[in-house]
Amino acid sequence: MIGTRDVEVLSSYLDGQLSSGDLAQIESRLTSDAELASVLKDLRIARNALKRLPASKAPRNFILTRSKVGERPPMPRAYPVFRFASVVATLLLAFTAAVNSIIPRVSFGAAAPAAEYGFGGGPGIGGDCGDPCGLAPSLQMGAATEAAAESEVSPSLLLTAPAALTPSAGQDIARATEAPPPAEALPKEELTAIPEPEVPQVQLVESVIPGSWQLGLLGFALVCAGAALYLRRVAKHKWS
Amino acid sequence: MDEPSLVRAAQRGDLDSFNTLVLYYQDMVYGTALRIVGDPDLAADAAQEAFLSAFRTLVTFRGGSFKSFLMRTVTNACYDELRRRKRRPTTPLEPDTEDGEMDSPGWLADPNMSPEETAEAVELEHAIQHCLENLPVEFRSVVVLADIQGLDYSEIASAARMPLGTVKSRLARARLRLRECLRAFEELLPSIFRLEGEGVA
Repeated sequence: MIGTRDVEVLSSYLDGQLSSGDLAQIESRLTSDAELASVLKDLRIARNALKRLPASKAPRNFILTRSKVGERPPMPRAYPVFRFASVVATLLLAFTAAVNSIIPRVSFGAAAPAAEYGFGGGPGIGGDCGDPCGLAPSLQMGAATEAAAESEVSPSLLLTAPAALTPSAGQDIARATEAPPPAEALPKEELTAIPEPEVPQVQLVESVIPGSWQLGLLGFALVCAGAALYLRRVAKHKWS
Repeated sequence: MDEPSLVRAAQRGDLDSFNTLVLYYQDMVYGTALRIVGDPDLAADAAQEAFLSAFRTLVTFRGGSFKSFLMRTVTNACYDELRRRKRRPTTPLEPDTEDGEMDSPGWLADPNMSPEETAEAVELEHAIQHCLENLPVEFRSVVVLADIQGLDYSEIASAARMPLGTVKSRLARARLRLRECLRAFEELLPSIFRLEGEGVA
């Protein structure tokens, strides 16, 4: 009976890989064991069939190119400088654009002396404030609206007050404007004398960061990016 | 060709030196891949991938047989290709010939052979390839390295990263299975295959 171990020994015998002791032993067995000799013959046929297969030629060259192996051409020293400068200029440009779009400088037109209220120096209502002026306007505005409501002061005065000045002032003003005094309570001549409330004219004035700066940054970024691209193209051309 | 110095230069990143080695070994690498994967296009892909991988991992090569190193790379590339093919089986766009066989490869066109001999050689080659493809891939790679590429046992052990005993065992079993398969194509086997080297190791 031929076992796996015998097949391995026969295969090694075919390849001349047996030690002298194993070689003598297998050769003596082969002369007496026909089954073993038959297996050896089978192994030899298989081996010879493979060995006589024609060698196959490569259908094309498999040489590697620099781009295939992912090698990059050596760049000139100025390349990273231009690249970095273009990136920085682009980021600055984006920053300036963001600043100009998010924080526009708004001015209220002629009807906006109210803008001055916020600084506590507004004429009329606040007057000369003797107390810390940061707190004064809201308190004074609250008092002013109450007084106005009580004494039926013309609403035009209230409308000129900035709604966004302080929350309390805004609320008071809102209340005052939402609940105007009944029309029949006012004398006729007063009604006709009330001027139309002036709507504050909001005007966008010049951007925080001048457009000329942005144009300069844009130009600088483009020049640097162009120079970096040119250097890279030249380096690649030389490399290939 | 001064192989060791070319290998050292390639390890330093010299692509030209590596390409000299590629030109020297490309037939062997492609032939190995073709016998393992059994498809010319897949074999070419595997060979290209093997050379690319060899260049990238050459820094890990610590001397020894460069041929074994290359054979290990190509067998690994073949395993990857076979796994990929198993995951995404494809249908070839080129139609087979009428009898279901692919056109004979150009390298089989021997001007000294008659048309009948050429046809028989093609049939025999297909029969052997068919039997090879019936082997498990671990057996196939061992028998291809030993009997087609002529590597010795220690080189196969290095290329396949397996102990010498495993190489011997797999090679013996692969040969026996091949013989069983080739019985079905007995009439194709020339008598020289059966008689050649009888009684000689």
